[in-house]
Amino acid sequence: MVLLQLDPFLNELTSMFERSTGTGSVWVTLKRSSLKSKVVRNKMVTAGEAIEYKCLIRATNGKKTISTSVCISYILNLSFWFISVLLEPSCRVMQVSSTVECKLRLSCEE
Amino acid sequence: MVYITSWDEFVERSVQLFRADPDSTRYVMKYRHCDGKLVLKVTDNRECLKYKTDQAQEAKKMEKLNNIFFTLMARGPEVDLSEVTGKEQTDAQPTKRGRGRKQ
Repeated sequence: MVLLQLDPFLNELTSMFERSTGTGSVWVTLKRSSLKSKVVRNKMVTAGEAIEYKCLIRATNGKKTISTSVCISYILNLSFWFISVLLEPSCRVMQVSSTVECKLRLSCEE
Repeated sequence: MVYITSWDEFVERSVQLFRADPDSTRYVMKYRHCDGKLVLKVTDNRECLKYKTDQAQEAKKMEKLNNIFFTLMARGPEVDLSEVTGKEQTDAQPTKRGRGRKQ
């Protein structure tokens, strides 16, 4: 698994979504992590040190896995990316509910 | 594995699951563009909550859940989520411009 910086990760994830438009799935996993082993974490706890947690993000298309870790300051960038790369294209593909379709049909007929 | 039919119930139980065990809980999104289907899973390796949809309107709700989990995971399980949900509610509500009467 490749650990990337945020921008290269988003670029790679975008191309992963583009390559899987015809066939296949993309999994994106979010997990809270300190990126430190249990031994190191326990030592920090006993020493009274504060552990810094980040959001670990992993993505895979079944063949290749990429990952990155995000701290609080980059969360807004990530949120905008999800809207532009995942949600807007997926909304074009996914179904519009029947009530919305009826309203559109009625407005066209008027 | 349990598929939950109500979105609000899924969100509430997911947040509770995370807060109960933040180190083990993960949030997984699976998207199949060819089918237009989105499956969301939240699990702590003991309990698993899933939600699936092919509706465009519900894909937009996922944006809110993403922000909730980003905030929980980066700031910690004790963070006040009203900041995240409150801001989005004000952003989501467009300013109403009614047809005013010309006097």
